[in-house]
Amino acid sequence: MIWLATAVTTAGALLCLTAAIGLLRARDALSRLQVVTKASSFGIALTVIGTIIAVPQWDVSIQTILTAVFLMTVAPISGHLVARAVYRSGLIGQLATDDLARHAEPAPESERGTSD
Amino acid sequence: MTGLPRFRRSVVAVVLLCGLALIGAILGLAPRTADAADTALPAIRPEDRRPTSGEGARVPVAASDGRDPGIASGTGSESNHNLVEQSGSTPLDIPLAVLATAFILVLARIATGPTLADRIVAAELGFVIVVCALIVLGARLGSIHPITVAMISALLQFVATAALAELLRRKTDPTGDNL
Repeated sequence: MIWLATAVTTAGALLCLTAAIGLLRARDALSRLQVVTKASSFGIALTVIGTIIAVPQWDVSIQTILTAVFLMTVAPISGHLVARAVYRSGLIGQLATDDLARHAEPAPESERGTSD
Repeated sequence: MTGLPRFRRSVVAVVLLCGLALIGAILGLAPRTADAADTALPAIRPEDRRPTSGEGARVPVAASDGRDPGIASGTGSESNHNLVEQSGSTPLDIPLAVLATAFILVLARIATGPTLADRIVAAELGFVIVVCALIVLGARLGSIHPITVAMISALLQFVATAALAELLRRKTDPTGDNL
């Protein structure tokens, strides 16, 4: 049972390691963000599953599941926030296609001043 | 280093502190298992500690702190003896080592990131790795306290990432509006 937990948890940790390697190898900030967001979601899920297998108690299970649900809920939100900030800050590299360029720059007049 | 802004240095400092906490947790784990392996192998078993606390009238000093005085003079690292309850959870050190390696790579990206956006993305992954490592640490110690810390730092991770993204956008938005 502990070896099964170790295998699952090591798979999650290897996903985090893959995300870190992809962070080193990717080309620009948006590619790195794409690598990080998906791999970290699956990494936290596998880590929590392995922890529940290793320690089958109610309090540990509830807290780890709450942690995983929260992280997997806010990971797209924070990824969207960072991607939006990166795009609007002009720190992007060479993009093959930039479909957002027609819409996002400059900011539309109707949305200005509505959210500050 | 001349054009290093204050904000970038603060990001590096925060993530370095997280990494030092993670490495300190892992290094604080290692000597205890080493002592349990070679030097104090019959010492911290529960069946050896139990008659010691039971014969407290005969050895009152040992009953006061619940340990054998010979053990206490030998190794001083089992004062938190109720942490290591699961003797079979030693293979959970493997994902901790993998997570530490991933964190070192994240630190390399933060050190050599060309722009501030790369550092913020790397800090996001660093926060997630710290949360994963705290959960695995709780499973390895058989304790719930690192998992509680992981839950709270998962809450703070979102706030920190949102604040970093907002600061990046305010700092380098070419249009300059508050959209």
